[in-house]
Amino acid sequence: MEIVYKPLDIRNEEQFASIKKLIDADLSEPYSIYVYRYFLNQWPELTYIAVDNKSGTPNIPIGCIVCKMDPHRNVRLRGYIGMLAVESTYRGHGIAKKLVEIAIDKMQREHCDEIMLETEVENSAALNLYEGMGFIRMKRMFRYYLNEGDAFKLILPLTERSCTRSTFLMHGRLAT
Amino acid sequence: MEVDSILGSLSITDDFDQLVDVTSLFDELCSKLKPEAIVKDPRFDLFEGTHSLEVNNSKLDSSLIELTAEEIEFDVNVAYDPPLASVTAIADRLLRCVISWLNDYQTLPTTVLSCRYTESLLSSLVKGTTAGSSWCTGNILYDKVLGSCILGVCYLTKFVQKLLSAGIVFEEEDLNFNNMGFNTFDNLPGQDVVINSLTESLQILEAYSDDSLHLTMLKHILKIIICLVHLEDHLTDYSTKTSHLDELIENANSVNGIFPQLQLSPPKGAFSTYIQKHRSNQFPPRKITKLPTDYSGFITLANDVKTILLVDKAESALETYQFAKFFNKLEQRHVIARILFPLFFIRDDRTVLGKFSYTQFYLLHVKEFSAQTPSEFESSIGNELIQESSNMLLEWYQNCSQNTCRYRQGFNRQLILWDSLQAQFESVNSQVYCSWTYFMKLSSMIEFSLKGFDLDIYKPFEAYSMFWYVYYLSHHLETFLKDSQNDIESNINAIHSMNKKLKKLKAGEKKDQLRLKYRFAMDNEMEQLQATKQFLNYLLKEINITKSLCLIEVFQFAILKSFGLIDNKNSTPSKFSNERLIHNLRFKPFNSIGVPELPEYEVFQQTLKDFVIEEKGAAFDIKLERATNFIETEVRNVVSSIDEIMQGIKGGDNNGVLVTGTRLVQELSLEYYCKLKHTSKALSVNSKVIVNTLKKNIKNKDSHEYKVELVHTTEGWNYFPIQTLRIKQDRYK
Repeated sequence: MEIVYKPLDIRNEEQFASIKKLIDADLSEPYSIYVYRYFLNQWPELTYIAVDNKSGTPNIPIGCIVCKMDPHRNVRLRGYIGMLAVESTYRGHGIAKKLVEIAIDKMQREHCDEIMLETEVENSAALNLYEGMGFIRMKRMFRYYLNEGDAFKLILPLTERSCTRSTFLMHGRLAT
Repeated sequence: MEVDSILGSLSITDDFDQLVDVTSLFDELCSKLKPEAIVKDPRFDLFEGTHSLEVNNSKLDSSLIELTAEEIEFDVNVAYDPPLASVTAIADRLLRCVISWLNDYQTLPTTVLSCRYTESLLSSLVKGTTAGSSWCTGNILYDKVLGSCILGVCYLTKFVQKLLSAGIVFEEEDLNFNNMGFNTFDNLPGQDVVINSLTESLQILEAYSDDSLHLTMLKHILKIIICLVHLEDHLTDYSTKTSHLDELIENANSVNGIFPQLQLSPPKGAFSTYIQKHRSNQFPPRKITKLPTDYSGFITLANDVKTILLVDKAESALETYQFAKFFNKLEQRHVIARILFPLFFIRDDRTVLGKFSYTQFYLLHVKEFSAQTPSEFESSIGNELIQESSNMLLEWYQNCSQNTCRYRQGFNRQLILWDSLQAQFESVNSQVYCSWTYFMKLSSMIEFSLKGFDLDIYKPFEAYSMFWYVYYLSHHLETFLKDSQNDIESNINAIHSMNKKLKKLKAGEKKDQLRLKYRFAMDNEMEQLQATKQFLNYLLKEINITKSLCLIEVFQFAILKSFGLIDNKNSTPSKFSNERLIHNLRFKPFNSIGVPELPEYEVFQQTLKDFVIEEKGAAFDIKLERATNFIETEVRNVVSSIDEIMQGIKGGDNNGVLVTGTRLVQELSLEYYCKLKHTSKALSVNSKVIVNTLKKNIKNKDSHEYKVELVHTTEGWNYFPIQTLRIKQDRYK
């Protein structure tokens, strides 16, 4: 196994399709093509894939992370991890962790004030992964997912702006 | 030829000269598009994306649902045999669909609307519809009895739609009302027509000589539906009558007794995903829900609605306040009851319970808390500020009926509003209003913080900071309550001293005036002063319990840290953030609060250091013993305070010491304090377990084998989880 991490090539339709397939197989939420287009076409630089160079299909992603970043209430720049998936046979090798680290590193370099995501309350693997990186649970959302499970909203603070209520940051609005 | 004429009718114009060929323009624009560019409406955001459907995606396209032959061929105009058993089975399943929809938060299309008869009735409804089914089988059980059952359930559905439109709870979260494009609920006949139809059906069944269980069951079902149709009376007439709710419970219990003896199977295809495939569906396809196996859900509904109606009997603001605090606290009430509560309490005529204007209701709270009558302090305050405070109070009441997650979020929002109100009252030097607002703010801060433990928001490493902070808030609240109590005490003493003065004064005008003043105070103020004093006694006991429990948790954390088992930071440092930022994010809701000021990060660190035992050898053991003894003392104090409160509650606030205001929620409040008591004892046991386990294992040098988890005990109160030692599992074993 030789895992290589690289950014998405949005012009590569085959890559797009395989990312969609990988995530569709893994996530509980059914996402339409619009969700994929929404993320991947608007923030292609915030999607990363993992491929196994030693496998028979070195061009097919075996893991991926899909993110976006935009101003939150016009006062802080929020990075958002929308999707993360690793093919079941490749789990347990730290691939997800590496993908998250690459994505957060990129968003931090892009001056994000915080990184946010939602995950199922029952998904202890995801919670362990993110909480191990410093994310904390900010709130619980009742029956958030289509599978009827509650979700936690997790945030990783990157700057002090993340630690002040939006209302009190209004005077220092972000330039848009 | 026919096809040509149909296609021809689609032509937009016959005059082709008027049309402009845009092909080249289109091609030109397309050539400028980058391959990765997406063309979308600016309003198309992530929310739109995640709610989009996709043709030919089996997870998102309900037209791809595969139906069985029975489902496709099902015909509402056929009287499937045997009619009585079949109609009973259909009506029974429909009622269990109602339970699944309302008690288990399932969707409308997978429950009530999965019934083909419901779909048929709603499809045929036109304005002015009178009772009667839209199908005709020639069998009275299908056409009349089942017809009225469907009509009744649709009427209930319409009522639920009305409740949802009040905006109290959140669609998709608390209640689903995907009506599949049916806008015909408004065409349903009035309540009297629906009840008549159901009553006539009952009469038809009464005439049956059949003594089968199916017949008995069907009669119960009709009676249950009548009760459900009457639910709206609590809103339309603000009725407090509970006879229909009692009947609902009675009939549901009867059905639960019959169930095990009956084999009920509706005709195949009578319930299906047919509606999702054939009607306008803006949601992904969903499988038909697994239904509950009895009618206990209706008993929950009836009991919960009965509970919220009790608020009508409140005789003071204190009682409504305590009612709101307890009615939804121990377990989340049925969604209908949770919506009904604020609508029944805060009425369309802009009154509370039809008795007080919003402002009067607010002033009543301030009066009962301060024992000062509004006239004494009303004039100095602007109406706008009073109005704002009244609205804030009503928002607090409304928040009490939210689902368990929204409840905490509501407090988060309220914190800054209470803080801002307090600052405004301070600026106009209104001590009485200011004090009450401060009390509400501090109570909300404590509730918000501790509720996080119930919702598993905090990780074990955060337990110290959160419990220490609540301890800090409790200390401020305790000081404030003591000051308030002293003020009340002074006022009481001032009145008593008038009497003493009277005895010393010689007869004359001065004495007469003082006597009048004394009489007035005794007749108009003393009772409220005594009640407030006793209520403050109760609040002080309660805040002492919170403070002590927090301190116990803090001590246990410190003991665990002393053994090297835990720290108030993540075990692995974050590559991207740092402990201070993470701490500051956790305390973000409080960092703007004026008083009490949020202590700096360093203060949290220093206080933990003060609690931790850093000594070695015998000195360590001595300090450890001191800490465990302290915990034991605190537990005893907590248990004793809880006992006193419970005695007060059981005695109906008549012991002259405590006023708890829990008359309407006596059982619930007792259950709550029992849970707190259980938690105190569990914490005591935990201390011993921690010390014994770790002392033994420190000698064996394997304390690193343990980790700490926050555990909720089934009988305890979740705001104070037990910091439990667990043996680490090797994930690769």
